[in-house]
Order: sequence, then C-alpha cells, then structure tokens
Amino acid sequence: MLFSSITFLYYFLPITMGLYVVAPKRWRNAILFLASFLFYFWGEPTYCLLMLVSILAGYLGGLAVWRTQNLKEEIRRLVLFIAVAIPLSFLVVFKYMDFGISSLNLVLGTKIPLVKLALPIGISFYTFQIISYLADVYRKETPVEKNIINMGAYVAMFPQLIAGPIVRFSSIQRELKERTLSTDQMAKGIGRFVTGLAKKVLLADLLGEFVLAMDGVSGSNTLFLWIVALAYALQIYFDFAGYSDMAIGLGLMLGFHFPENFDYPYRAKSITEFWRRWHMTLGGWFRDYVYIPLGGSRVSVSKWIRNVFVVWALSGLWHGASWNFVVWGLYFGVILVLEKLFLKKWLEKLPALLQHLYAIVLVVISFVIFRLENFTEAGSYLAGMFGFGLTAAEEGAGMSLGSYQIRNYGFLIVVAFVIATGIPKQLWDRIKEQKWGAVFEKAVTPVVYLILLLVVTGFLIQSSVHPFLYFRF
Amino acid sequence: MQKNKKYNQFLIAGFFTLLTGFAMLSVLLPDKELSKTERRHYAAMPELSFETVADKSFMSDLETYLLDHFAGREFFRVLKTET
Repeated sequence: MLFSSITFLYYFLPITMGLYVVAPKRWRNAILFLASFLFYFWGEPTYCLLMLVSILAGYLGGLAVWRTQNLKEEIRRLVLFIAVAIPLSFLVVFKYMDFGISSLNLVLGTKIPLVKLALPIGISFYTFQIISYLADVYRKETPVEKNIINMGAYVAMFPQLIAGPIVRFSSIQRELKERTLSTDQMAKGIGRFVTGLAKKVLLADLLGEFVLAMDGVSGSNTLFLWIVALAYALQIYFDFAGYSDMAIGLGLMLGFHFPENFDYPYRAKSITEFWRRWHMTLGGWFRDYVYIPLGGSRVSVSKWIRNVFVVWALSGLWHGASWNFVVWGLYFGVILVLEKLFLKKWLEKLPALLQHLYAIVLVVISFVIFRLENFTEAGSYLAGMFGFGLTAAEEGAGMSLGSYQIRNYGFLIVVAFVIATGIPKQLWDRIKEQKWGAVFEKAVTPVVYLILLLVVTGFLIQSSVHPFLYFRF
Repeated sequence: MQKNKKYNQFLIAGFFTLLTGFAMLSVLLPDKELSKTERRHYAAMPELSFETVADKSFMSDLETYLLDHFAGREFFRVLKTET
C-alpha cells in the first residue's frame, strides 16, 4: 500500500490507529503485526509469504544464536552464518539473480536464460533489519526476542517496512515491550507525517513530472542538462526524505522513536559530510556490519582503501541490481578516499560557498549515473553537461519546448531547492524562539497542516499513481 | 503544559475527524455513475475474488473507485487546478 494513496490515508490509517489506541496494551503488538501484514499483502499478495518466512527465519535464527552463545567461537560463527544465510539468500535470489546471470552471460558469452522474478517490495530493507538483529544478538548487544509476535511487529512494522529508515532491533527493543502513547507524541507524529506527505506529493512527484517531460525533449543544451540533473537530485531527496518523515511520524503516533534518516544533505560542504546526512541508517548499517568487521580504518592504508571500496560497491549494489549502481557507489568511494587523504584539508581553506558548490555538483553528477542505467546514455549525458558532443542543431532543436517546461516548473525547482537548503527551517526555528513564537506556531501550524492535507488530497485525486523511487531497492 | 495538551488534543481530533469524515461521507453518499464535468463514467466497485486479489487488480481498482467517489471530488479538482 502506498502512503500517498486514498486507501492508506483515509481508510487504513484511521481504522488501524483507532483499533490500536482503543485496544488493551498487550494486544497492541498483535494489532500492529496484523495491520502491517495487511499493508504488505496489499502490495505483494504472493510475496507476503516470503516475508513471513524471513521473519520466522530471523526469529528462530535469533534463538539459535542466543542458545549457542556460550559455545566455542567457531560454532557461534557457524550458527550466525546459517541464520543470516536464509534471509540473505532470499534477497540474493529475488533481487540479484538476473543481474548475476546477465553479467555472467556478458563475460563468458553464455546464453543462460533469465529467471525474471519481480522484486519483492521492501525486501532490501527488511532483510537488512533481520541481519542487524541476528548480528546484534551474536555480539550480545541486544537481548534475544522470544515472542514471535514482537519479532513480526519489528520486521514488518508498516511505517518503515518498505523504504526505511532501517531500524535496529536494539533501538526499539524496549519500546516493543513497553511504550506509552501520549497526545504530545501523537500530535508531533501527525505533523511529521503531513510534512512528509507534502514533500512527496507536492515536491517530489511534481519534480518527477518535470524530469519526465524533459526526457521527451529531443536535443538539449548544457544548461537544460544541468537543470534536469538538479531537479532529479531534488526529486530523489524529497521522495526519500518525505518517506522517512512519514515513517518517523507514523512511528511516533504508534509510540515508537525511529532513528532520523536525513539531515539536510544538500547543506553538506563535502562528500564525507553528505553521507553523514543522507540515508543515515543505511550508512550506519554498512559501517557496523561490513566496514568495521573488515577492520575499518584501523588497518594498513591499502587494506583501508580495500574496505572502503568493498563497502561502497556493496552499498551501490544495494540500491539496485545493475552495474551503474556499482559505479555510482565506487564513484563515492573514490571521492571519500581522496577527501580523507588530502582533499578535505584543501577544501576547508576555500570559502564556504565554494565548498557547498563542490559538494552539490558532485552529488548532482552522481545522480545522473544513478538515474541512467545505460552507460552510453549516462556517458553522453555527462559529456553534454560539460559541453561536449552537442551539435548546434541539437542545441537548437529542443530550445522552445525545453524552455517552455522550465518556465512551467522553474518556480517549483527554486522552491524545492530553497527548502532543501534548510534555511526556511532555520527561520522557522528562530520564530519559535521569540516570545510570541509559541502562540504564533500554535495559530499557524494547524492551518498549514490542514491546507497541506487538502491540497495533497486534491493532487492524489487528479493524478495517476506515483510509486516511491526507493521502492526499487 | 496544560495549554499544550489542549492544543495537541485539538490537532489530533482535527486530523482524524478530517480523515474519517471524508471516508464516511464517501462511503455513505450515493455513488454517481456519470461525471458531467469530466465527461466519463466513474469506476464501479471492483469485484472481490481470489483472482482479482492475487493479481492485485482489486487493490488498484479499489483505489480508482475510491478516487472517483471521493466526497467533494469536484472541490478537490478545482483546488488542484487553482494551486
């Protein structure tokens, strides 16, 4: 089920919340699990079985790892390995099978037929949550969960089930057992949810329309290519950060505190900083379960560079089963290594504005590689951005249609960009600090939420379905 | 603190009243078949069966149905055009 659908917003959400709030505390996890299952079933009526098996594997695996915790290290590792292998193998088969086969065919010249399995929604997210749970039980960083309903509620919890944030078991384990609902949290959650919904429907989806319209413009010029690339970078940010806002808001409404996932990434002054602000829970996952176990940075320089590249190749691949995502990941790996070796020191001597420009240009370029799965296409796009390979005729051909679209959507792009800088948020926080700020906030916010909700509904009613970009992962 | 609580209650009540209000109105108001302004037939309630659920057509048709018969559809259409 999509958050940005009438089915979810006007039916699923009020009914689920109603039942949840009215029910006695001890039933709440069961209600949450059942509602989440229905939520997932709505989008994946067949693959929901796969998720149930994964949950069961995680549950039993956790018990097995816990039971063997006093045995020899080799046995413990073996148990962990088997426990992780089950959910991980589902991810590999359902997400990477065809990628593996076609890569093999390409290298060996074989003609093994593709299996053509559809990607189960959210599998990358829930599998990573199960793995984090198993690893944490193994490291004795979290207690084992003996109640399968709680385990199911943790993995399948509908706010974050299909597009994150990736929630560690240890961070909500206490709340799974005992949590309180308060009007304060509920009101905060509603605000966060409506904000996220507006980011998705009013910014990301409209930016998406622009990017799509510009794809249809034949011929282009350097300026257009940059504008479209920037618009896409903004689209993916608002799509994903909007989803995270909705998830965190729904979590609060249900009594859970999920970790933050985005912190105005386009404010970054370097790529190192960008990745501390973008999809933070994924970065944290790779840090704790891949990078540090490999030795992190406390090894020789050559090993450290290897660790960085392993993490970034995997992290790229996590975003999609295609080589362009690997290149995308490695692109960041290279920049991060350079920044740590010397670039960061150089950058810090530059004026702040240039540092921001450096980061945003590199990020915008990265999303060109991210968006265009075909290397030839991405290559000519990037060349075009730097003025190569565009003929005068080409530059002329798309001018009128392209300028028309840019005039139509230009205001939106500017607004989205300004919001993404975080400056409006800072101003708002400043206002709230004033003496009259609290009163002003209380007078304004309900009206803003109401307007946003009505306008969003208007857009949902008039437009076709817009799936979230991160559903592909 | 007391004031905050009142405000929160107001916000929560407003949010859920709005959602359930529109949902109930949409269900209770009689379905129109034809749209004069849009010059087309509205979608009919999809048939619930094993097949339609398994191939997800029930879910997407239900969303279309809910969109078409949403209370105040005309108002929202104008609202979107205005913004």
